[in-house]
Amino acid sequence: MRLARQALRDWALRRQGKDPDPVTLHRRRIYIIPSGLGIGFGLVLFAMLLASMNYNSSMGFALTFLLAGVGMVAMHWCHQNLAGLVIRSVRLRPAFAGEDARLELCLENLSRNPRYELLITNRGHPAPPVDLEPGESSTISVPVETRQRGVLRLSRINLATGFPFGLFRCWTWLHPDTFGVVYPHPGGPADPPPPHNTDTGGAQDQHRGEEDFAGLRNFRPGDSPRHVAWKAAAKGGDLLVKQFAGTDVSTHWLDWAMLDGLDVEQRLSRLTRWIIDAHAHGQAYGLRVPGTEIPPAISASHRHHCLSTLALYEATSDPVEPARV
Amino acid sequence: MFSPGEHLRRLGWTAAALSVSVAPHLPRMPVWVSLLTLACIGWRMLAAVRGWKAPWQLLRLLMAGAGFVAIVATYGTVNGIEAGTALLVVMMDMKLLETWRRRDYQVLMFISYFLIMAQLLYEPSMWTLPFMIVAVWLSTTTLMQAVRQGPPIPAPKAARMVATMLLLSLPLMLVLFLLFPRVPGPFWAMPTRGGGISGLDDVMTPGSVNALSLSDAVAFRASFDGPVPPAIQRYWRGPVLHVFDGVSWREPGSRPWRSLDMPRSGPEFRYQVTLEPSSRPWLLALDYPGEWSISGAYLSTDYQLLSRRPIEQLTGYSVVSYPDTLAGARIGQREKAMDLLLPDERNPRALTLAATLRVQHADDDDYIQAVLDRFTLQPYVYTLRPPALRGSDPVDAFLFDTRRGFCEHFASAFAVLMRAGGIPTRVVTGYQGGELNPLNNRMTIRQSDAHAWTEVWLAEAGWIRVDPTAAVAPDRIERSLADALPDSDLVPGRFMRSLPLLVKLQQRWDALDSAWNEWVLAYGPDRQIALLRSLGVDNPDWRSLAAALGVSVIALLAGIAAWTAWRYRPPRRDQVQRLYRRYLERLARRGVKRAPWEGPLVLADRAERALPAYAGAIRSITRSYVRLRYEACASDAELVKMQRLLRGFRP
Repeated sequence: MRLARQALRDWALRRQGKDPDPVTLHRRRIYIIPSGLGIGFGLVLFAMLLASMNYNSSMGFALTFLLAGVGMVAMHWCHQNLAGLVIRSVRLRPAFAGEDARLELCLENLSRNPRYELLITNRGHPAPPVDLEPGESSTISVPVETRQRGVLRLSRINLATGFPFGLFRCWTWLHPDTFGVVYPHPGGPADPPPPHNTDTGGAQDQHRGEEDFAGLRNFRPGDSPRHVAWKAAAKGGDLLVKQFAGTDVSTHWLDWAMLDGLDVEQRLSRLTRWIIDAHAHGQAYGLRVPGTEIPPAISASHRHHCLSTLALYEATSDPVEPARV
Repeated sequence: MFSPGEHLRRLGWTAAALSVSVAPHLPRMPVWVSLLTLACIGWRMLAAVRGWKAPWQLLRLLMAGAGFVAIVATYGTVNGIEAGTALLVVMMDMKLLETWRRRDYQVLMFISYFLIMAQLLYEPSMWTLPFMIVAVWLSTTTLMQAVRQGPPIPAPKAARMVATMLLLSLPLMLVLFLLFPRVPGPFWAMPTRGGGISGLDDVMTPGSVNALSLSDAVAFRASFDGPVPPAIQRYWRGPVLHVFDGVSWREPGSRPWRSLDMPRSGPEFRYQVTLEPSSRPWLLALDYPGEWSISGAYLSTDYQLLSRRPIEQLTGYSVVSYPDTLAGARIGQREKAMDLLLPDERNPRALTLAATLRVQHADDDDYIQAVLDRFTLQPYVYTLRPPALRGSDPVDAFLFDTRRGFCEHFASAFAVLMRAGGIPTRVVTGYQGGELNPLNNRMTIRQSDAHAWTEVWLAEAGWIRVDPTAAVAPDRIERSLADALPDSDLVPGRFMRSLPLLVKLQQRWDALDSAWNEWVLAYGPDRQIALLRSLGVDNPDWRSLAAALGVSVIALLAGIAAWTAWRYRPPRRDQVQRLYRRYLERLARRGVKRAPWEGPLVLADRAERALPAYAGAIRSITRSYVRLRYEACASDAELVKMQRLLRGFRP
């Protein structure tokens, strides 16, 4: 049974290929079968047919056939509820190994009628169903389990609906051509901080520091949350960041070589922890691992760059996915 | 699982749907069923408001058991429509008490469908069609709300959506109704419903009640192909009674019922009958049925058309009758003896009268005429409210004392006098007459048209119909019951018939009702075959029926698929966008494809470099587009300009 299901999915992948982004669902890649409730409904209809025959009742036949007609209309409605739906911006948010990564995708209804009860499921994790008015789009987020650092590939996402009556289950498999990064598991907060001699004192910034308050400016992505003027933000208005004048910006070189005596994964964990902490404290840091050197900087993209480098360090083989659950 | 507000809305839908489905059943059921249903719906709503939990399982089981026992105690069975429906209602009440999950709501809606079904089986009259549609609409909308994981869809929207679905499924229903091969039932025995108002019975006891309870209800309808028989030939044959015990006439207990082969001769009447259910196997037909279309029906030795099963549903059949056929030219000695038998020492005065008359009239015809003359010449009165005939000699009492009666009294007395005179005689019951509706040329025969007459057997001539009532009240036969009676007698419908407008309305309603009966309720295998034949199929059978059904259902489903796809088409773009799209298509044909991130200006730069010959046009079109799209007040002239530019833009 499981093998057959797997073979069916592989067949669908071969048939459809990887999906572009955005992808519009064509009728031919939407599959439909009666659900458990639908089979129950069929049995109810059969009982009604027998009763109508037994009592030779024309009105009984009329009701049976009306309900049968409703069932058939529901089948087409259910199918149409998916057909023509647009799926765009499929991406996997990075996560630390062991945490749940978030799969995000956007469903867009470009038709003239509402679509209801759209259910995204990834590896058995369903997202809450969404309804889409005509022209509406909605971003859906599903957790993805991770166990190991490296590249996280998506195999297939299930998009299903039972609307209107749950008599049929209509679904399609999405094969987005995207992947995410799973950062190494960070060491605990109790791990030793980077030794002081990592502070090279270089790459100083005359305009940024933490000594003297020098004014406010608008928030930019990458700013440390510690510098956000929360009190001002709480009063409403834009998110502002406190700026400081001063020269005491420490710059750290986080170096693989400093962690002698640990194995590869432990070193990666320790470096990950240091990067997280340095970024959180608004410190500039650079990263040296064998074969790669990233000069010091402060920004969210720098953090991502560093963490990805660690994640992909001697990455064994991809796809790095948890076993099928 | 749901928030209380959502739960309440879901419950509101459920309560509304169930109330509509169960409402027509409740008046027929014991009062406690209605009370229980009200209590359960009320309790469940209250529980939702107050946030109560389901009652203990043991309590629910006990209540369900008690309900079952109470149903059995009330009806004596759980089989059959009435008891079965009562049980279904009680089970629905019990289910309501434990409805918390989505699955429970779904089960309730399936019960609701069954309740609608039960009503349609029980009473398939015309008003049940709107009932069915409204109830199915409500239940189906509730089902839609019940299977939803999210909050319920707003009521007007949900109701409109399900209404659309029902409208879409109507053609499917129609095709299935017309073409789905009907297998004649029943597959299992059903307790007969009994009751019902019928003017006919297989026992006739003149004088046992002092007033004939007459009903205006329709017994059956007939529509004739070709000539309509005159009033004096409209004798619809029912049970034939042979055995007389001095008081009552009955059918013989056990007789070999065998199909008779009728010699057919003389003129014929062709007609279709739509018979109301009577829980009896009697198929009414004019004398003497020669051919009939109902499968399994047969003709008794008394020329009565009989079905193999009681008629529990409206039944349609067509018959050809030959009124002038010579019936029973030769009859056996046993039959002759049975139809001459009179109980000893009962009705002695009648026997004496017969003997006296027989001496004066040796010829059979003369004797019959003499007896009929006695009814006409002596003061006998035709009335529906005769005095009761007490004692053991009711025929004597009628003939010599009261002299007032209706068809049963006259038929019974006449038959006794004939048998006493040595002429084999039997009493035939059935209907006489029928009202022709000028609107649809259809004859309606009501329960009040029930009648009894006699047949005498004469050598060479066979069985001859003699109706002694006709001698006393010829209007009863030639016109109608109301015309034959004194004004003091209450006759159903007499007041109605005195108002021309009401008569018109009534005829109109009757025409509608009979069309409903004929085309909907009595629609069956015969009509299916006739339909196919009228569509030009040679020798239709169930195979051609199935083929026609398959083709039409597939065609309809394709239509539904196309319609839903059309409904979900993307909205029409505005004009500017359509023009710009055309421009993009033309660029793409020359190899300049817009990347998803490219704005119009960036694209124009690239396109100009790729197609230098069209640089001017590309720039103008782009400028027009940007103005139309982004300028505060774009003019119509700009749109015209862009259209003109695009016409000339053919890279």
